[in-house]
Amino acid sequence: MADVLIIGAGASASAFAWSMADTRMRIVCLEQGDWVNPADYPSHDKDWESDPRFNSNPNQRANPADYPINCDDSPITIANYNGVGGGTILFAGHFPRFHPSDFRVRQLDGVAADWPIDYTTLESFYDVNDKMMGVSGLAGDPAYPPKTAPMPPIPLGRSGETLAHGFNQLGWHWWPSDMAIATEPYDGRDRCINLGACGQGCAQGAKGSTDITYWPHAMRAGVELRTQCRVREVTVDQTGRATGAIYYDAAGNEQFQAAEMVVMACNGIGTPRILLNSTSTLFPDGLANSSGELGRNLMLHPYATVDGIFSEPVDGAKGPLKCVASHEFYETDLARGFVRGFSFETQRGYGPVATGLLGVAAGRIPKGSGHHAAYRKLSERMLSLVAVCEDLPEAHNRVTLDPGKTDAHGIPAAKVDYTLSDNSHKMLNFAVARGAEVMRAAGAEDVIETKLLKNAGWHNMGTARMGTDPSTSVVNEWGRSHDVNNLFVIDGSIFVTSAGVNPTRTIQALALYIADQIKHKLASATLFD
Amino acid sequence: MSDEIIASDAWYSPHEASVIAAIAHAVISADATYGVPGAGDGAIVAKVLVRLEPHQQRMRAGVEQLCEECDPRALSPDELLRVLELDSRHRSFYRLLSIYIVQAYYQDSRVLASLALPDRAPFPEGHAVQEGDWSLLDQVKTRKPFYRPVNGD
Repeated sequence: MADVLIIGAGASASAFAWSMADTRMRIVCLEQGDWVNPADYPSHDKDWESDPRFNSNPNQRANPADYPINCDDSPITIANYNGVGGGTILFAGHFPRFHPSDFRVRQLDGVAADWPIDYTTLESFYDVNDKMMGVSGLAGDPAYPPKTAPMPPIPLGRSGETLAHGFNQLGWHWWPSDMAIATEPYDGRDRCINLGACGQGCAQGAKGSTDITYWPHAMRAGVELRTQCRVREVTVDQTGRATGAIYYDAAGNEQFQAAEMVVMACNGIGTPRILLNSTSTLFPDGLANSSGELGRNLMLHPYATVDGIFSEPVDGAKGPLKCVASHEFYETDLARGFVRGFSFETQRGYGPVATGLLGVAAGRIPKGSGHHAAYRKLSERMLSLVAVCEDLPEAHNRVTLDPGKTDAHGIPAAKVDYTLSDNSHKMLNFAVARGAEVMRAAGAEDVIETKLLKNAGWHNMGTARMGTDPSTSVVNEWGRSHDVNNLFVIDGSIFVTSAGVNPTRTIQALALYIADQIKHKLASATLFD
Repeated sequence: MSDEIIASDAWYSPHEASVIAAIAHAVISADATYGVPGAGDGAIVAKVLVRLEPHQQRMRAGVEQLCEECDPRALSPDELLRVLELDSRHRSFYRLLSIYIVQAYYQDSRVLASLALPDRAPFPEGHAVQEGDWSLLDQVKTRKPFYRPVNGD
């Protein structure tokens, strides 16, 4: 019997496990994937740009740990990684916080819903998380309340300088990005040496994937992490309390792990998938789903990109992928024709393969005659702005169980039904126009506009949202299921809104906050009240 | 272009391999000006074929359909590209194949050398990135905080 059973070993689980370890309870974590050996990362190989094992699309990657996600009815396909560290294995390490306004969109803009907590509630947990993940950055950003970073920022490089000139010419905000990347030796990790392959895993160990940040600390403190254990369902007793989980071990044998408390940490797709698969007489529509909200309100962050082509070389595939960000268009201005807003983050440049593929796809590099001359105009001369657009929750955007597809263990797969809202379309159009403007101001001779990135469903949020009303939310204001008083959700599923920035830092701050709440309520014997 | 790609235990037949090589040659031709091989080069095509293994059914069907229409190896590169680009029946096959051709081509040592790009794994040497001119930030530092206040802030 475990005191705490955590399902999933990604960003949220690692932070939660580490925080809970000081209770000295027996904490067990089940992860369907395995540890990634840093020696297996593609940057050990000259062909690092095209290693299918680290493709971010699980349907194409099809590693043994992956489960199918049917995205036929979505313009954006889901991206993830299944293994210890989860999505942080492949993320770029771009690590912004939410803004205070992100927790109050109903109050400020009359849309979506307000969070039951606020920025101030999470502030101290952001700080703890920054230390554990090893954040680099620069204090003084006028787009945020005061915050500091444990390490100095990553270099601007030629790409950052180029964009800075453009932003400055237009009088728009920019700031060096907060990054979960070590710029100096930190907590047993070495500093970044500009491999340029952050998106395929960091062989240097400078990027803060949680297999090398939180997990070693959590395990030294006694947390047991079992890999290659795929959970099928969370079980309940006749009173409706969670009793543990049924899973398949590495040999494919069915096992049961009993627990006093079950914690879901499988991201905005995996968590509703398992809970929807956890049906019983008491919970015929899935566990924690009396509201009917489980799986609904999926938010994905529509991404637009604008590539600038310059006459002089920029950084290419050297250095961390991201360098500067702009929050000039973050807050609502109804004159733009939409509510809420977006942030710009940069893509510092492209490697030789990505340059070729992007150039051909955009019609800038012809096939056949003229190919080589055209390629040379783009090689190491492209950089990109990516607009991370706030996605508002809509009930029809949802995760369900696929009626036909299953994973290797016969567990029903996830199906995503998602449409872009009119608000998102308008925001994407505006973002592309502004991105082109700043690229031109920075000196770009040509601009490639992509209104919607298809393979960019990295940020899966909202499918088990938090709230104080059990009829409109799945978990309460500290992550506990309204329906099952010893079942918790701690991943991006519980987001009420998506903000216009990458969510991982907030996911982890929330996980630490929920762990803190649980510890306080354990101490006062009110956890299961 | 080389037609020496023979591997009895591979998923492709010599005929299929030669058609794919012809397409690769058409997509990226050799260029003496830059001293680069074409993508129909034997070593590059061999890499393309290995990586296409997960898509062998789709590739086989695509080659077969193309060969029903013409003999790709008898066409000039421009003629072959016209067939592939104008006939929508070939679109899916051609798009996927092109991705693998570009991938393999821009990982070839001769091509990288011609482009003066590093012909090595990024790790462990890494790369140098200049720090950049941080004085560019002075203009932004003069700006007052502009994050949106909420009740209580």
